[in-house]
Amino acid sequence: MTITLTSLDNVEFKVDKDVAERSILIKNMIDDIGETDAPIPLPNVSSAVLTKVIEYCEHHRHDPPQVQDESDDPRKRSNDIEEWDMKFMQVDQEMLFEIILAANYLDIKPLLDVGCKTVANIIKGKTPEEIRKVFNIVNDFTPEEEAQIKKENEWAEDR
Amino acid sequence: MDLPEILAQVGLFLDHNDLVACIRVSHGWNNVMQPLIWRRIVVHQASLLNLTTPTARDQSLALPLSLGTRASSPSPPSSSPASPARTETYPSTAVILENARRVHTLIFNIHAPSLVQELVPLLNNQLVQLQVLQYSDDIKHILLANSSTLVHFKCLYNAPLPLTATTPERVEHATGFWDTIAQLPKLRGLELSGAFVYEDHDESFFSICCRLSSLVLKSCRIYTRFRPGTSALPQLRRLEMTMNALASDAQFAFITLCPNLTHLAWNTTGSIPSHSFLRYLSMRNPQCPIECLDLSGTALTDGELANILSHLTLLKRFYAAQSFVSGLCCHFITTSKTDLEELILRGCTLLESSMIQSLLMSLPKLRRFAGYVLKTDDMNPPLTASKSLPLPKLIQNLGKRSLVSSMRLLVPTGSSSVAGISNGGPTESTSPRVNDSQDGEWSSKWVCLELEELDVTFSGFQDPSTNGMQIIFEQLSALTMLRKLVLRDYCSYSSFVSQKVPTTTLGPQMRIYKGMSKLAPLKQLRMLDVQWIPLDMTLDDVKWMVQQWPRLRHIRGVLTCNPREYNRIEQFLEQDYPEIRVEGVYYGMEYINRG
Repeated sequence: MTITLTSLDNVEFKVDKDVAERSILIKNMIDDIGETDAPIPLPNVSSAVLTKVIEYCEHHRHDPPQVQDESDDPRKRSNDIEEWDMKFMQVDQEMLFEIILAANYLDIKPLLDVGCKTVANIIKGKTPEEIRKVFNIVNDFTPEEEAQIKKENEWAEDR
Repeated sequence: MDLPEILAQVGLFLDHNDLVACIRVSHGWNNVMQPLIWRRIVVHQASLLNLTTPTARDQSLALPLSLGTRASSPSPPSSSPASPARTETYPSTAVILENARRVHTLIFNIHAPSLVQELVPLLNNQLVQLQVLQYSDDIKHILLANSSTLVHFKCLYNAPLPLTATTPERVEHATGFWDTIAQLPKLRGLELSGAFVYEDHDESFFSICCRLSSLVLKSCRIYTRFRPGTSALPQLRRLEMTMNALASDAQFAFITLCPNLTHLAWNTTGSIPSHSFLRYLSMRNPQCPIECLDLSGTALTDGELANILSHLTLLKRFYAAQSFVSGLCCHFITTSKTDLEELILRGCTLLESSMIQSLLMSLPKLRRFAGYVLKTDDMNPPLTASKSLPLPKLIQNLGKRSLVSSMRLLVPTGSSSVAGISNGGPTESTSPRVNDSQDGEWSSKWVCLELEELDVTFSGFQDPSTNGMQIIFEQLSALTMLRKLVLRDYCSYSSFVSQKVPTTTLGPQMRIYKGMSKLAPLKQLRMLDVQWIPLDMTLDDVKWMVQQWPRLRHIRGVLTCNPREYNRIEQFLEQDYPEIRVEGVYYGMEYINRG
């Protein structure tokens, strides 16, 4: 069975139910209202972003439910993006954040994680100034404030 | 990036150093990321002494604490006493207690019973991961108070001393321990050193194991019997058994209870029943799920190891340090396992130099590699050779026939595993890169361009006739993803071990004008480990290094044996690059004195 989704800019998307249900939000909606032909409005997601999200969900439609990785080692966890996802995430920064926001809103945890890992990998190894440059952020610290924060937090982690 | 909740999600994938960079970006980022900094706390020795800032750090205190770091090196007395100590700071006890409510991961690198005691009332159903050096009543209270959240527990030295005999106290202690662990319903990872499992604990031990996805047992004494037919452990994905006091066949019986392992480390001095092990591997259908195998230090032969490898189609990481890995394994890997991502063969004395070279020339997906001695002769065959360059020695030495037949001997009868070998065995496709090479001059290039960690002992570093250093730098210059580089030099290592001072030169000259400038592309380099080489750098070389490698944060070893230069370098790094941690035992003085 197919589900119709309507984007912010009123574009209709017809997708298979199992694809649409990668989104927990949509899955819950369908569970609540029962199967219906009425389109499901997604007023927070533009058609450009929704196209990408559906592409992701179609590729991952047969994935088994996510196994919670219990290890708390951050480095390890952000290195394990699979190849298809890595390519999928090669978009400009604006689109990257749109996808993350949509994944958050639609409640698609694996997509949210991949998005956040991608951003984390951009941040890794950069200095504060480099990070500001990449994300276009204005430094609102005085030099003294920044030095103080650095001093308070930069204890040596054994690695 | 102005959405705090997204930013906080991103922060979960960052380590401490990156988080510290993030909180310095802006007020907004600071507000979101600051709490994440306290999710993970590592308690050091210095935490207890409340050495929170460099200025608060008493020099006399700092010295004995930081053994092996810069402060402990017997630098000549001329180093100005006014120079500030390293800018390493530590979370103090007060700060830890203040932020205790935010902690998810708590790691004790030291035994700190009084701090643990103070933390007992503060930690309630929040810890996800706990690592301690000693199990105690206070730790028990923390475990039970966090039973609804704790997923991972690591505990070292948990038995009361002395270790010699089975005493009623020890059994009682162990009973209390296992009873506590059994009360942690969310526990998925358990890592124990020196733990005891007596027969009384059979039941609780297995009921705990049934829930775990990861179990690590090191130097444990296990008196329980793993009876075949005991309930299987299908949840267990990762199992590490290192130097446990338990017969090998009993250890193996435990492994056979775990059908779904993806990660297995089995390090035992006892003999591994290789036939049964192969049967266990070949019985996993449709293919053995093991992705990571560690057989370091075991007495398995080269052929047995190669045979084991042939059963593991999904294997991505293979660790066999201090093992008998040699030609057969290398041949199998270079022909049939070219998708390996990690290969650790440190201290494998049977591993010939030409084999290491052929591995590095055949494994394009390699991310971590550690080997033994690599001769520069093998890295660049003599230019006199014709265009069809000699195949690596191992291929020459091993006829195809002898290879397959010697492997057949090891395969248990009735097993279908021969197929794996003979399918993958033929040597026709071996090292195509050697044959394909068009220009004889540079035909032995490594293909492992994604390498992030490399640890090799070079031989011929200082050989002027083969221009060893140039060859090494040339090969290394292609490894642009390298994050950690461990350089060892065979000559200086052996003379260091035999206490002989090299007569001609102190060590390989890592100097810009000697070709080090070729290493400029290693932009990702984070750690340089040269502790096994006496180097002879100047301040200019070091300045070049830190400019070329912007990610460099950690240098292990001493960069020069010249005391004057050493001081200048130390001063420069301290003032201009405080974020670079330098640790190394300054054995250079010894060389100079003797010379």
